[in-house]
Amino acid sequence: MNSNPEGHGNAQASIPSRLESRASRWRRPMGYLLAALGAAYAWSVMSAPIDSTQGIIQKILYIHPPLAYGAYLGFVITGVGGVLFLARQREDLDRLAVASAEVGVIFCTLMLVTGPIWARGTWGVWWSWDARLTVTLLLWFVYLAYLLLRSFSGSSPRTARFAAIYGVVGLVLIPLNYYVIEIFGSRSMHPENLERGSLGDGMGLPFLLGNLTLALAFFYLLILRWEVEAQRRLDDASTSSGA
Amino acid sequence: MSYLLAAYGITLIALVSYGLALSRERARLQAQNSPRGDESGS
Amino acid sequence: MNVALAILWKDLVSEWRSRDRVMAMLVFSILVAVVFYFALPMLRPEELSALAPGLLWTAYLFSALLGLNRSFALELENDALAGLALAPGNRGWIFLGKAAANWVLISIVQILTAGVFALFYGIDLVPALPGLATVVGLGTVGICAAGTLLAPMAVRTGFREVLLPVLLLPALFPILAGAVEGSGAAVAGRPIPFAALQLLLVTDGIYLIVAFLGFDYVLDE
Repeated sequence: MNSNPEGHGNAQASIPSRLESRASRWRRPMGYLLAALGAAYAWSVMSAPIDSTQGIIQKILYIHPPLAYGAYLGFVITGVGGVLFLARQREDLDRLAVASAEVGVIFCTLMLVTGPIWARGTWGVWWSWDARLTVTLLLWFVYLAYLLLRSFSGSSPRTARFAAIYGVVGLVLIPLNYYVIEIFGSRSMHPENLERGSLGDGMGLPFLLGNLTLALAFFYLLILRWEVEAQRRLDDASTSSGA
Repeated sequence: MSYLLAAYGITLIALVSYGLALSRERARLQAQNSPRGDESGS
Repeated sequence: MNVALAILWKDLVSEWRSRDRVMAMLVFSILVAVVFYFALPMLRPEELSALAPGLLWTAYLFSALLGLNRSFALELENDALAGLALAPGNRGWIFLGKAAANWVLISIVQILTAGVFALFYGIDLVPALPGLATVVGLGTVGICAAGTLLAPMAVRTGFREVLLPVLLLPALFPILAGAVEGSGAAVAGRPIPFAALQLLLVTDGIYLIVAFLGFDYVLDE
């Protein structure tokens, strides 16, 4: 399905691109795999042993850290996609960048929701400036800024360029913020154990399945959102060319 | 226990409904974009 | 290189003629200092001076936002951005000129603000001066690098000035962390921790490079 409405120059170079088409072909099998993995994951979480010291709340371990894949990978893809978009002038990479930002911010938000729930359930406080949660919060603000920048700019070629630049800034901030929090950061009252209870017996499998399932979920949603972006731009192009 | 359910529940609902919303929009836009004269259906 | 110096000179001269940006930033900083006084009535003087580095940098950040917003406003109003974009050579030099001008103007405001803070909170800043000046100077390089890159973007979108803080503040957390740490040490008479200086230098370097290379895309019409 190629579209090339007359005369819009490079802007309408084929949507979807070859890369997008290839990614789309993976989506359906990924969906089936995701369903199967999800079922195995759910079963393994439910049958996992209950931690003697922390109680059942400990099982959040199987969902909170795995969300990190989406949260961090999301912005890495956005940043790198933006850079490649600038370098190669490929619109499909810009579409990937915006898709990755949206899916990534959802995973990041979920981390910020499940993290405090875990903290509240385990330590009794909702927020404690724990090192990792703080870095995630900072990342969340970068996501938000990126998405606000895109939405306030409307849709024009300039938007994509600006967003790509900010994407680089955000990308650089990921290691920088880690560095900051490590050196100066944690005013946290609680040790790192919030995230890494040592894995006892029977915890390895649900943890592994959790990581696999949520990582796969991220990529699945990413491809889906990428497709939607392509369709939206096609739609925009058709309406604006007066079809 | 309720905290646990909240965490898993919110995550599940958020991701699944997001995925469904995306699917619906994709289907709608694809239907909208295809019958137009200037591209071939797939 | 000449382009950078030319722009630096032009911006400084035009600011010298009107002085509106520096005035606005300075008044704002003083107001912030007063706001803090009212906002923290329960603190004893010693506690307040312990907080001073953090409060000072808060004032610095917000007045810098004010100044940066205006740094391209003049060009925007006169449609001069296109002319700027036509300047020969790498657009990165335009960035450097603009950033340097911002740095000079913001630094002037910062010096005066520090004086006001010293007055209001009864801190003797003189012994701390070399260390403090270094930290503030380095921190401001980072603020100006990121700010000069992002301001023209923010200003040309739908929400103009409101967007710049949203874009810039997340980028400045590393600067803020290092600067407050370093300033606190300087004011307390301690040697500045190397980690703080390192953080500032690394962040400054990264932002300068990214902005220099990326300014092309920011100025493109």
